[in-house]
Amino acid sequence: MSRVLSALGVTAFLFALFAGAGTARANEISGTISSTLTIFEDSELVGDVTCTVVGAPCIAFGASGLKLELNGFTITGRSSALTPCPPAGGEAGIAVDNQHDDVIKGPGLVQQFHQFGIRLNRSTNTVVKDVTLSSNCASGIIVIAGSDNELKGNVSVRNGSPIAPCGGI
Amino acid sequence: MVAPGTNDNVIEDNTVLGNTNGIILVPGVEGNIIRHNIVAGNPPVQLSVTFPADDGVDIKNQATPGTNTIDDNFCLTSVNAACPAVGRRGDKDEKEKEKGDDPHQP
Repeated sequence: MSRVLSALGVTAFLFALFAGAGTARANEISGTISSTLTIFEDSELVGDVTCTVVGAPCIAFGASGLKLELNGFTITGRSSALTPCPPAGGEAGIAVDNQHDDVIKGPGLVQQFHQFGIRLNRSTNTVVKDVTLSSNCASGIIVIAGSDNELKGNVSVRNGSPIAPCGGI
Repeated sequence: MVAPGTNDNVIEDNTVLGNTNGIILVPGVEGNIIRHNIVAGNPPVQLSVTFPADDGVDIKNQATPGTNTIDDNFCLTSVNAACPAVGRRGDKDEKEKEKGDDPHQP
C-alpha cells in the first residue's frame, strides 16, 4: 500500500512540475519567433524578441481580455531601418484580430515589420499604451473597422513608405 | 484607420513624428476623438524632396468634416483639421478651467 501511495506522490509531483513549466513558457516571451506565437493568457516579454515570421503576425492575441506587457523590451521584424521598405501583406509585430478588452502595455519598442507595428482588426475596447513604433513599412499602429479602442501615450516614428503612405497612426 | 466602421476610438497623448503621414482618418469613420497629440514632421523633408508627388501631412482627415473630434493637438500640416496649432497641449483645457474659475467672467 505504501508503495502505491509513494508512486502516486511521485506522479503528482512530476505532473505539477511539468504543468508549472508549461505555464511559464506560455507567459514569458523572448528570443526568436519563427512562426506566429498566439497567446491565450496574460503574457509578458522577458527579453528582446526577433521575428522571422513571413506573411503573418509575430505575436497574435488568441482570446479576449488578455494583457501583453512589453516590459521595456524590443520586438524586431525582418525589414531594415536603413534600406527601402516594401510592405508585405500580413506581417505585423502584434495583431489583435476579432477580440475585445485586450491590453498592450509598454514601455517597449516594436520595429522593422514589413507591414504594421500593431494591427487592431475588428477589435473593440483594446488599449495600446506607452508603446514605441518605429521603421515599420506601413503604419505604426493601424485600427481597422474596430470601435472603442484607446491609443494613449504611444510614440510612432518613421513608419510608412512612399508606396504605402499609411502613417504613424 | 482604414475602413468605414472604425468608430468611437480615442487617440490621445501620442507623439507621431517623421512618418509618411501622421494620423489618418479615412472616409466614413466617425465618432473618433483625436486630442492632445504631438504630430509633426510628417512626412520628413527628405521624403518630400525625393517623392514630391507624395501628399503626406501631419493630420489627414478624409472623413466627413464634423463627424470626428480633432482637438488640441500640436500639429503643423493637415487636411480638414485645425493645423498649424502650436500651443502647448492641454492649453485649451486650462483656459476653459480658468474661465470657469474667474469671477469676472460672465
